[in-house]
Amino acid sequence: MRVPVATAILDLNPDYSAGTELDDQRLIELLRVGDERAYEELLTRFQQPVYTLSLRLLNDEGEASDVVQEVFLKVFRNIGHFRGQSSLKTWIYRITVNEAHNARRWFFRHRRREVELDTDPYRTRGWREAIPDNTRSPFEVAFDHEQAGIIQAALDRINPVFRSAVVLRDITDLSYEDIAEILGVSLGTVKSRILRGREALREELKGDLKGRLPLRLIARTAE
Amino acid sequence: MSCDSVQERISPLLDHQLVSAEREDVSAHLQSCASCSARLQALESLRAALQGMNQAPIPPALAMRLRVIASHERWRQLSSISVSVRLRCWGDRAELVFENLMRPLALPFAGGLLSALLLFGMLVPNLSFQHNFHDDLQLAFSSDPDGRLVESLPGEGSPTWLWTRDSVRLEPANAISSRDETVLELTIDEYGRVADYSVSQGQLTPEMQSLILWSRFTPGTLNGKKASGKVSVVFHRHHHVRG
Repeated sequence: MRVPVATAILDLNPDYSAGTELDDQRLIELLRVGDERAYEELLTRFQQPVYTLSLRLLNDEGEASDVVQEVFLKVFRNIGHFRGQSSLKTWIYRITVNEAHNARRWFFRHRRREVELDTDPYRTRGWREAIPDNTRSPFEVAFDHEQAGIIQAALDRINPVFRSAVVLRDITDLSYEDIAEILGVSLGTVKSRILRGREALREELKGDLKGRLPLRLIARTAE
Repeated sequence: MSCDSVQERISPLLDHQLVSAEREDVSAHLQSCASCSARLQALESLRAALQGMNQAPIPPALAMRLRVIASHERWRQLSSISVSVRLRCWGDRAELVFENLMRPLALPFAGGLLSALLLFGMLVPNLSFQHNFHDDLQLAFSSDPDGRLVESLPGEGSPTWLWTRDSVRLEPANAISSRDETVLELTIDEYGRVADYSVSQGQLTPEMQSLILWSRFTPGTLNGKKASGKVSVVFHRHHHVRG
């Protein structure tokens, strides 16, 4: 059965050449008139960071996938009402943070007692694992993976208010001003939340990462 | 500057959020305080570790789902802009539904049609559309032989007369007749010939004998099959058989 998938979404409009990135204003205008390239551009530009942000806020791949779908649905449906008072990026991230917050609340209300059998249903190899990296030993790769798991678990334990600030600052790499706009708080509050969030995370990780500096293994020929 | 106030400023220092004078004060304190310096190092390594977590590979199924959503939403957006696009959208959707409906049926339908045509083509030469209702046999339980003369003897010397309805009439066996009539009871075999006869009433004349010998009757039937049966032939005494 044929389904209405955006198979023609890669058809390029002759108005612009391949490889040129549209600015926010032009992208929004084209989205409003239903331009194919604009939809593709929006997904290409934001699907990865939105997914990463959702995953770090929720620590659940299934929940993060649901949130990402909701976010893009809202973006596509409300692009006509977007006034341009903030940048497109901060607007999308604000939707993401709100959706993740709602999903987390829903999760705690409804699914907290469920036991998941498959703890990692969407497990795919990351780019670091997929691309052979001759400069990194298998130990270092395993260490990174384990370290990321430990930090993610620690993130999950700290206050969600601080977590959002830390994730937006240190993982998504946004400026304080952007974070203030996304979270809808003052710059001082952002500074405070980042500071307290980092401290809380450091406290959570105290001892966990101690002595876990990667060892560099040197291959030697047996004598 | 106290350690507490420095430690509060380590985080903004990492993010370059301190003014230059403040930054210099904090830097000077960090060079002299091992505890605060260790805190800075811890936060720096934590920040580096967090920055390494900014690339979670998006599941392929989610990427595909997002494109499907984008396609649907684009059409929705287009249809809300103009009536012509909306009509085209409906047309496309109807075409899609029709295709989805017909596609699974197309192969079985074509196969069935071809098979039917092939079988019909093979059967057509053997089909007969002419029905001869005159030869139909009566499918009643049984019937008596018919008095209709179906054959007479050809050639010279054969009787050239035939009995007619005026002079002869057939009655079912054991029929009641008047006294001035001659009644023959004939046994007609399944071939229509007279197998036996007896005179029930009156005199047997040569004409009657000829009739018995040379006439052939329509045999009676039993369950649609030809069978022998009995019939009475009544001759009017005042009428002669005519030639």
